[in-house]
Amino acid sequence: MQIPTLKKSYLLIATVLIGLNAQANEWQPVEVEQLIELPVNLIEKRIQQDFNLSPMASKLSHIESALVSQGEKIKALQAIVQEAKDNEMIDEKVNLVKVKSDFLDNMQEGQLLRQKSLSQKIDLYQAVLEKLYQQQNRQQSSALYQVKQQQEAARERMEKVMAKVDAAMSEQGLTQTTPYADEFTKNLAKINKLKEAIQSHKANMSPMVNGIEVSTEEYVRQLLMQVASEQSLLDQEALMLSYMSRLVALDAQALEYAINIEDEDASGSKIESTTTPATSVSLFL
Amino acid sequence: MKFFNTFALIAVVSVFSTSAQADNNLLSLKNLERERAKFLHTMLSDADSPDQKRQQILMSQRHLIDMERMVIRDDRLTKSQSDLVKSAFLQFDLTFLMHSSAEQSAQPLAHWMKQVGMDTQSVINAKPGFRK
Repeated sequence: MQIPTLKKSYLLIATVLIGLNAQANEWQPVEVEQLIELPVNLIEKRIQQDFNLSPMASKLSHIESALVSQGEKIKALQAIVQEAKDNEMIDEKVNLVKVKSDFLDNMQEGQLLRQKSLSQKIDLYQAVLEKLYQQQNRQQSSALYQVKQQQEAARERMEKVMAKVDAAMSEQGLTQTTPYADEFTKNLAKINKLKEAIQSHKANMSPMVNGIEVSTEEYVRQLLMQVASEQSLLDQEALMLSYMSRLVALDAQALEYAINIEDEDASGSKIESTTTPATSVSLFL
Repeated sequence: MKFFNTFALIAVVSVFSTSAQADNNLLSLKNLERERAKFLHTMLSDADSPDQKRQQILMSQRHLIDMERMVIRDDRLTKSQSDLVKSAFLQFDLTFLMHSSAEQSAQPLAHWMKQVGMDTQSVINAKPGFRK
């Protein structure tokens, strides 16, 4: 079947628009490979920065400003209808329920976006942790790592007896140190100073959790726990939201009831049951 | 054809340079092995006078102490997968003879003999001849 050119163009535009709409509230997190290249302290900041630049974050920001203005509107309407009786200021009361409902709709949308962003963060942290474990396992199982471990063990063992060896040499009359030993000792002091400077450099700081230095894996695990706890609190907020929705529904129900009563009073449609057999007896006598 | 020749030459040169680099990684360990062999040879030899022997042993011990420390600090060794490196660290007592003998409060030669399974009795009982 031949589709006319104009129709094809419309179809293309429609497809692009649908695609844009679908992406409008999305967040495409940064690649895991890029994250694990960063100093661990910066992982969280990089993710947050990436999120802040996403359409999802700007949508959340719009929702937040809408919630603020709707909240103020609700307060103003509440102040107006506060003193009104059940059958008074019905329009204002209807308006209040409507604004409350819109407020809750926005809040629910924000809630869903936050839930989505948190589950994306959880996936991201889990992927980072997985990569870190893989890297560590690969490193630890390598032959070179084994040799390095053996050298470190040997170095520790040797360092314990170095003073004893030097003392033994002195006893044999060799008090003069070798050029290598002299230079090494001089350089060692300088190296230690450089090491201290590197260790205290802010760009090389180990990750800290509650003031305690932790490993990279531990830090990412803590971040994961933090996001999981945020998610748990968000679930609790969702429950609050559902109760708030229930209250608005009850308000609307009560209002509907009040409006119906008023209508009935105004139209006088209420059937007065004054004509009873007892009152009608005289008609038959 | 000329291109392939150049390519082959580059490949050969790079193989040799890699092998030379791998060899350089083991330099400190090989020096230590040679120095220890010389030390043990001096200890077991009676070609020199006692005074000359004593001087040579002292000098060799001093070299060995430095070299053992060089090897233990040499990070190039851990970039090698050579069996020489693996066995050097596994056999700490033999490789780092000066430090391990001081650790055990023993004379270097006595400690070495113990490590290779020789004692005074086995030396006394030994007879010159062909290995059976």
